[in-house]
Parts: sequence; structure tokens; C-alpha cells
Amino acid sequence: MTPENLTPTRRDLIALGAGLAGGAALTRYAGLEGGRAAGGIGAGRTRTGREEYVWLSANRTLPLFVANDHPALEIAGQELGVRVTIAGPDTVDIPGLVAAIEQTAARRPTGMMVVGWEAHALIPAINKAVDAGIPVICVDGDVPGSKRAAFVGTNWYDIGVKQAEAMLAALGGRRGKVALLGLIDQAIDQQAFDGFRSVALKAGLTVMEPQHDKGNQAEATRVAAAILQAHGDLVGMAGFDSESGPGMGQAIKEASLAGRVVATCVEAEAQHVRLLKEGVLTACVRQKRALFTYLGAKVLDELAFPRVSFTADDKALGIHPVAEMYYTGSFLVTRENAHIAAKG
Amino acid sequence: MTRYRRELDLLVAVYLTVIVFAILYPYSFFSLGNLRAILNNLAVDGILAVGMMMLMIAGMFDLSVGSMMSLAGVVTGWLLAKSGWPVGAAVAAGLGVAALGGLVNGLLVARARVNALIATLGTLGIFQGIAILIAGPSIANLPESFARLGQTELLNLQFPVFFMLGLAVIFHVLLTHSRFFRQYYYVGSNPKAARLSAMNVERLQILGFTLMGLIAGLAGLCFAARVGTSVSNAGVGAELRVITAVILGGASLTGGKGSIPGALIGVVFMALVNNALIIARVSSYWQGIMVGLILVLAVALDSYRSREKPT
Repeated sequence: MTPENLTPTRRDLIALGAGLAGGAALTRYAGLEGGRAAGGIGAGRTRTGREEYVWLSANRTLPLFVANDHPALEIAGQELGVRVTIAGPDTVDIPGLVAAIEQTAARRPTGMMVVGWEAHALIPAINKAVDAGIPVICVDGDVPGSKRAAFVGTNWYDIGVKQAEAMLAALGGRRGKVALLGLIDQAIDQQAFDGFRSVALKAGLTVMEPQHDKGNQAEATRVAAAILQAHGDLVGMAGFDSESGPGMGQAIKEASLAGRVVATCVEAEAQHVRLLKEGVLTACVRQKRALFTYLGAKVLDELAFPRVSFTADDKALGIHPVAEMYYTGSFLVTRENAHIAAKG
Repeated sequence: MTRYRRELDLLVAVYLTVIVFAILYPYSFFSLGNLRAILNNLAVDGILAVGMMMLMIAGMFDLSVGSMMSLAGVVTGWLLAKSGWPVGAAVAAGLGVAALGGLVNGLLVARARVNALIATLGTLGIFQGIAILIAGPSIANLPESFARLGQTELLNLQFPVFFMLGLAVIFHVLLTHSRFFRQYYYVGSNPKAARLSAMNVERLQILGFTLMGLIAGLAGLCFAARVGTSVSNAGVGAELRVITAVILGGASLTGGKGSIPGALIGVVFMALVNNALIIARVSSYWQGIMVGLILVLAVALDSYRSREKPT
């Protein structure tokens, strides 16, 4: 049937239907900017079906993000029935991240989760977004001192503690120097170094000054190779970014020091697992990365549409209906459990 | 000998660095194991430096070499691990993709007249993005037959070191003895004059970028084979390391200057300095400062001496 076959009456009916549908759509759209209901259980802004949660990070296409954080964000978006988007620069460009936060806030999404790459530099942009009424949380890396409502991520101090404990267990009674590799200018790595030292120093290990591997495997290999040559009494090596493990593993393997130098690291992707199985790496601490964005989206949803309240006006008192810290935990991957505990 | 003045200066600097650190750290720095580790680790940058020097002689540069390197590695890895291609075919395909990427850069610069900085900055993002889309973080457990290309040793050195040396010899001969390739010096010194001399500057530029792509592909395959894994961000930051080494080795951003031995000496010098600073237990923060200072001083000294030279 073509439109020409329709009688004027039927055309009018179709037009009326289209008009009603359009009106409904406009109403839904108007609801996007709509006000909030009064406080109380189940109170919050009205859902419009156009909610959007934005994940913002520097180096947004980092393979680790692409493999873990982005897919989990998509799952959370589907479960919540909201749109999820990814924004930020492709490199470790902090001014670019600040600009992305400000530009995203300007279009007023329902919520934003920011990876706190450089805590101090991000505070003004995050605070501005919060002041504009947008729920903002930090994931993966925190921005303490900002007005963000919550942090979802790993406790990096614990990552350091876990690595040190795994290293001591593998060393048995051996003692000597231990090298640390990572992104030494990042706050989370510094927390991990502190955690590592807190255990290792007490146990009698000599912890050397951390070396920068720039989050790059080739660089980590170069740096680790030089350290291995410089310190004949090295008994261990601990890596704190995703590329440290494969890099130092390669260097240890090429120096034929597998087993003599105990190596621990973070993450357990396919390459880490191969080195675990070869006996080059001793243990990998794997973060529950997928929870960062999965839980993050749910926390944002709770902030945007609170189900619980504590006072007559939580918002006025600055009380959030979510916890402030969500530590997602981590677990140890070793040669023995790698076949089930690791990805890839 | 004045033609190779910068190279000789740098060679003296390399020599002095080795002597000083060999005296200070005879067991850690001046050990066979350390020198072997330095050479194995600089091979990929050395391969890239050969292509970058050729481009810089022609007055161009390519910021996408690192991501092109990653892309070639993951294409090869994907074909080997996911599609079961034989090693030869997968290697050829990886190199082909990289050469194609270089050709795109060449066409953008020579035909579309996009500034090389902008064109290759753009393709840097594109190649890197495609590499991540194909491989995610990495494709591990590549076949042993492929890994042998990067792990087999001759005289205690891995194959990529010999690929680097072979490539350097070929391009040195081409740039010094081949009439066709010597045109790059003229194109780099004065492209207008080169055009007036009936040189096909555009064709030379396109060929230069295509060869750079191919060389970046070779570097990517060497790295993937060495670690037995195609890492999708393997080449991140390589472009700046390589450009730094090539400038140290005598290249000029304005073109017309430089040599392949200079590029290799630049890479060796950077690797030696970085290694020596770690062995000397210099803080990571100071390492960056010192490498930056060395580059600025070397270029400033060269510029000063060029002004002093009687015409």
C-alpha cells in the first residue's frame, strides 16, 4: 500500500499518530533538562531514556582500557538502559584531559567518571562540573581534594603489599636488593611503592629507588636489562604498570636469570601469563579492572537517581547516597593458577 | 673528513662515555652481558633511525613510525595466531601494510600537500587505533618459527641487530653511491632548486615515506618476534626517541644533512647514556634532564661551529 492509496481520513489519522509520537518524544527530551523530585526514598530526577554516562581518561585507547574497562562500561550501560560514551585524549595529555572534562561538562551529561591521572591538575575541572550539578566520580585513579562524590578502583598501597608478600614467599630466606619499575610520576604507583616498602623493608630487603619505564614495554626491557647488569646482588624486581612485567620478564629471560631474580608485577594479560608459565615471572597481581567502569556506572546511576536518602534534604547537606570509597580488590595469579585466574 | 664532522664528534663522545663508565663501573657497565643487552635493545630504534635519517636528509620526518611499527606487528601476529597463515605470508602482509601506510603518508605530503607534521601526526593516531582494534592489548603466543626471527642469536647477538646493520649498510651505499638516492640531499637542501633541476621531488617524497613505512614494519616484526607477542602499543614514543637520536647523529630539521652512520651512532650514544645513567644509579627524574641537556648542547655546539666555519 502506498500513501496515494490512503483516504484523507486515514492520512489524518496517521498524521495525528505521528504528531502524538513526536509530542511524546519532545516531552521525553524536555525531561532531560527537567527538575528533580523532592527528597526521600526513590527520589531523584525523572528518567528520560536519554541518560548518558561519560568515562573520561587520558590515554583513553590504552590497550588495557580497551580490553577491560570499555567492555565493562558497555555492559553496565546496557543493564541500566543508558548511553555510555568514552572521551579524552589518546595520549597522556593532562591539559587535553582537563579540556575534555570541561567540554563534556558543558553539554551536561547525566554523570561523569574521570580517571584521575594527575590528581592536582584535575581538581578545578572536576569541581566545576560538580558545581554545575553533574554527578562526578573518579575511577581507577582518585583525585583526592576534589568534590568528586566517590572513588571506584584499586587500593594501590595493597597492590604493593601483595607484591612484596609474594616476593618474600618466593625468596624464602634469601635477602638482597630489589628493584622497582613503574610510572614513577603517577600517584598510584607511588602508593604502591610505599606499600611494597612497608613489607619489604621490615623483612630485610634493600629496596632501590624506583625506575621509570614510561609505561612502555621496550623501555621497561631496556631499563630492567641495565639494572640487572648493574646489580649482581639483585634478588627481586617488582613492576607496577601493565608493561613493566613483560618488559622486565624479557630482560630477565635474555640475561638467563629466570628463577634467580624473583619478578612480580601487576596485570595478567596473555603475555604475563606466558612469562609466568615459563617461570620468568613469579606472580602477577591482577586488578579487577572491569569493576571500575561497571560499578562506576552503577554508582553514577545511584547519584543521578537516588534510591535512598538519609535526611530531609541530602543534596542541601552535601550527602551522597553512595559510599565514598569502593576498593575493588585484586588477586594473585601464579604459575599454578594461571590457567584459570588469568585472561588470555 | 669534515663531511662527517658531526659523526666523528659523536663517535668521540661514544668512545669517551665507554671509557669513563668502563673505569667507573668495570664489572657492570663494561661487561659482555651489558654491552650485549644494550645492542639487543637498541636494534629496533636503530632500524627506525635508518629510515628516519633518509627522510630527514630529504627535509621530511615521520611521526607515525611508532604506531606503524605497532600496526605491522599486530597484523602479522593476527594473521599468524588467529588465521593460521604461514610465517612468510604473514610477514609479507605485515610489511605490506606498513609500506601501504607509508605510501599514504607520502601521498598526503607530496600530492595533497599536507604538512608532514600534521599528516603523520594524524596517521599516528589512525595506525595506533587500528592496531588496538585488531589486537586489543596484545596477541601472545606467536609461533616459535616466527619468534626465531627475533630471538635467534649469532655471536651472542639477536637477529634484529644484524637486520639493523644490514639495512644500514644498504641505505648508506644507496645514499652515497646511487645517483637516484643522492637526490634526497638536493631535495632536502633546496626543494625548489631540485624541481628546477628536473628532479621529480614528489615521487622522491612518496618513495621516501613508503620506504620509511616498510622499515617501520621491519622494526615492528623484529620486536614482535623478539618478545613472541604482538603488542599494540609497542612503538609508543619511538618516534621522538628516534628523531632525537637522528638529530644527534647529524640530521637537521631543515634537511640536506646527515648520514646513515651518524644515525646509528646517535642511537648507540643515546642507548649508552641511558644505560650508563641507570648503572650510575642516577634518579629517573635526572635521566630525562640529562638526555635533554645532551641533545640541546650537541645541536647548539654544532650550530655554533657551523657559524664559525669560514665560507
